[in-house]
Amino acid sequence: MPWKPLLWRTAVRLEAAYARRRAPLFGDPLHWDAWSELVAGIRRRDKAARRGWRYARMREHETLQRELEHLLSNLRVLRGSFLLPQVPRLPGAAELYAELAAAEAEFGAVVEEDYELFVTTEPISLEGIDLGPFEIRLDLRRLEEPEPYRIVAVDPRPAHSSSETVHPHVHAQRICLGEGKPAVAAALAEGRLGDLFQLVHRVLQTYGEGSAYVPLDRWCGSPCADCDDAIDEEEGYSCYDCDGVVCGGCVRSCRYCDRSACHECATVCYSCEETVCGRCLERCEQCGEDFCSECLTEGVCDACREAEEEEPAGETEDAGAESQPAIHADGLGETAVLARPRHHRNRRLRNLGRR
Amino acid sequence: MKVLFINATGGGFAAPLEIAEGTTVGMLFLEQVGGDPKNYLIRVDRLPTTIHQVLHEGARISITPLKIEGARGVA
Repeated sequence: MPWKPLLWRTAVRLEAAYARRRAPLFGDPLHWDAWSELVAGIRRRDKAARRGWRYARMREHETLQRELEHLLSNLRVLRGSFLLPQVPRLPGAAELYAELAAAEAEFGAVVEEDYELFVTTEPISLEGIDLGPFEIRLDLRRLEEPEPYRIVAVDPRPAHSSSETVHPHVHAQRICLGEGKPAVAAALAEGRLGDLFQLVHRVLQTYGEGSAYVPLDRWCGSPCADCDDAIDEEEGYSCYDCDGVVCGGCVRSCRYCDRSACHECATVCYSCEETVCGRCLERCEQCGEDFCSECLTEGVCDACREAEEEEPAGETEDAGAESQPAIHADGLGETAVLARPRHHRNRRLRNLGRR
Repeated sequence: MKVLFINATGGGFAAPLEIAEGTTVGMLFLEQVGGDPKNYLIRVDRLPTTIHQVLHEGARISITPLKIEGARGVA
């Protein structure tokens, strides 16, 4: 391999930067807030489950998986630091030069710019989504920090819901290394910068569905809870009951208070079948079904009222029963059979048991 | 003989390792990592290699999984 004076000068500067490094070799290995977040997440998920908030429970469950991964990642770093407890020796300029040369051979170039050393990856594509190339930048002034690197998208193609998420595992230029964290921490501590760039590159080439900032199936927007089309979360409508997000084409709005609901949770008036939320529905005092306020008169639906008016004045239920022996013979019960409104027969059953 | 072994699947540290003369990359891989070598990038003295290469005194061997699953950080 030909001698490269520029790379050598960078190696000498790196050697000096490592010599100045006085911070803990592996940073703060365990963040207690990760544990607190996990405990709080379990409480939130259980609360959502108890209240029957399916969508909220699902979201909390997904978040819990990520929090757990974060905690495990910190624990792996801690375990790694105990595997070989000796203090890594400081890398020399020759060793650093060899590392830089190896990185240059793998990535095509190692560039030093404004106290940062960076390599550029090839365009990365995950699950058919093209994310473009990335720069892995190492800040030479922050070598004492646990994570002195950042990831910059050369041609950003961020998630629809977050302009700062340019990769499932990169948010605001910070990469969460997950399983790769201990190895990267060790490579940084030992001055194996070629390994460091390579390891970060491997993380960028890998997709972990359960631990992504934005899962790739929602990269182009969240799926509508009803039709599954991708929608921007800010443009979607949140169902008041299950907390699911639905698109403008699928949303059902209460005709009185305008609250939004998905198809599954929407309740309708028993008579006019207009969408009316549980809070605005009222119960008919006679048949016990739910109606909008316009379809009730003094607490009684039109059908029950008509049935009442059709009954002869002073006729008792017993008398009615005697006048309809054929119906009673079938065991259908009482005169309420006659009082059922005609349009009740076509009522959809999907909202039975709801408010 | 002694070699320097870097296993990115474990703690990721470089550790000196005593091996027998004539040990190949494949033998060391099976002993230290196991599994299918196709899922790993194995390098000797910072250059990609094959499992048939015989290791020499002072060799630097690094084994890195091709896939390393990242995560989502907590702000």
